[in-house]
Amino acid sequence: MSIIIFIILLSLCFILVPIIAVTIGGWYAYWGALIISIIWTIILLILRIKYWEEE
Amino acid sequence: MIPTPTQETAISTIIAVLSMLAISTIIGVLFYRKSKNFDEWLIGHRDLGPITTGLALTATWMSGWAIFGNAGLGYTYGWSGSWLIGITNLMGLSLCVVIGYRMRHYVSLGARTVPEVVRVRFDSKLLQILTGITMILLLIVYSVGQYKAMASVWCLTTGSDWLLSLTFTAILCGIYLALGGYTGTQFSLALQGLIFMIIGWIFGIASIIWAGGPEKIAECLLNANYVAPGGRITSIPLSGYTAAITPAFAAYDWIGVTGVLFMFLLMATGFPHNIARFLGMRKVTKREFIILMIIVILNCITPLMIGVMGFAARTVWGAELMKIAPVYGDAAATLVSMAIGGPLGAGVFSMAVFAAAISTLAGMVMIMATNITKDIISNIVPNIKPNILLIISRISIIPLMLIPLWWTYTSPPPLLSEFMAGSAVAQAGIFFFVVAISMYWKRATKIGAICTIIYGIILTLLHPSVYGKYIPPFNHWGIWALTLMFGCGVVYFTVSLFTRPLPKEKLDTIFPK
Repeated sequence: MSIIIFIILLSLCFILVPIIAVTIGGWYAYWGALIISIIWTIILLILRIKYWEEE
Repeated sequence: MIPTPTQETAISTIIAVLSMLAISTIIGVLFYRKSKNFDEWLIGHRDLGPITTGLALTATWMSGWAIFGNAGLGYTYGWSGSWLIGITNLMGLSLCVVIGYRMRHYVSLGARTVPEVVRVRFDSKLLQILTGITMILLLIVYSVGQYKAMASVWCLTTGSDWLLSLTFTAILCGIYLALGGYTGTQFSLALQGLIFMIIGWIFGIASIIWAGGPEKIAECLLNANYVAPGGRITSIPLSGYTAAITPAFAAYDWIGVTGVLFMFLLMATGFPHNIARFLGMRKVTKREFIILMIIVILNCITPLMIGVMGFAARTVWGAELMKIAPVYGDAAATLVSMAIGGPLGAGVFSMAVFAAAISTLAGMVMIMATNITKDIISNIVPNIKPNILLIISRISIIPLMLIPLWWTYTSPPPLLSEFMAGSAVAQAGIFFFVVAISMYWKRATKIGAICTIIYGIILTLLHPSVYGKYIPPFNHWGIWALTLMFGCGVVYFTVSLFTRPLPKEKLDTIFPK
């Protein structure tokens, strides 16, 4: 179940970037995309660590 | 006033570039001598930590496109250039880190190159050869961009003409590669990654101040119109995040923007020279994995900083640079560095461009050379001696360098990043599925992977600048890119589901428990 929540959150981040570009634009969209990408990365990191593969 | 090259800028550039290459080469030679055999030369001792791997990964990820071409995009296309600048590039590279770490597992199964990973995964030498050939084709196209970046910087800072700059750049690269600079594997790359991160950040922030602040830049872009290479002024505004310039322009409309977003999402994992960085990595702890990701985050901001330099140049100089052939808007970053820092700025920024371009070029040449030896020749002549393979690898560097060089000389792409995006889409579409997804999806089959590669290559030829311009709707960049990437996914999953995977006992040895 939790993996679905992670995927939904990742999808939201991905969709949010063009939405901000259309609605707000300018510098806010430019640096906003970076902030959203950092949030995306943190979510991915949590996901990776949660399902850590031991060798 | 737009800066012009002087004797001081030329001397500064020559000293800075040669110093960086000399240090990289020394590192390379030292580590080459430590290698006992061909395999060790390829992947080292598998003892590289998160910081070295993180910096090396960002070095191969960011090429002349990011450190040089991004300013050209910002300058030429305003906000609509932001998509190809890679405002979401971090999403793709972080995905690559998460997915690519499993490459290490394939090293323990005997793989030393990306096509060997494919061979181990599908138990198919044919697929290994096909993957190797595809990589060579796509990486040669990508190499053209690196030459244009380096030659342009040389041309703008030293005042040499285009042909001389290109020739000199090629000689420098040839010496660097021949001396074994690229055999320093991750360490040379890590150094180069660190160099352009620091320099990119400094110039990005400085250029905002130099142009009069963010508000002034935003105001300029709000009132700017698109100017075509050559200087023809159009009535197309650059105030938004799309610009209806031509269907072949990636941000022509939201279909094109969607294509770019997916390209950036998939291509970091799809780039063989990127994902190969994990082959030499040691086992890391969770904490070290977080450190690796922090390095990736920090360096993925660098392309955005370079994009800002383009916006700043447009604010200060208007569209004047669009008249400078054959560099056009791509001249923005170098000239801004000269305007801000004088000869020192020119030298330091040139060093960053060479660091980015040569690290990617070296990474790609190494991949292509090993494609020829390990993935093609070794399969055809299985008993060939390792030292002969090493010699062939080194000799094959010559044509692998000359082909893209000739291409750059005869038809330099007007806008570097736009050109390289063509190869990037193909690598994203093909290798994201064939290499990355196959490491996780047990049901993937050899036939599915082969069909994906063939489909990807056919669609690549339908690029809007190749045959796509004659066959609508492939004259639209976004439609072409999405058809290629999603089509590869559809072919890969559909064909795999209808064909037989490897036997369960074989898959159990390949997939970790």
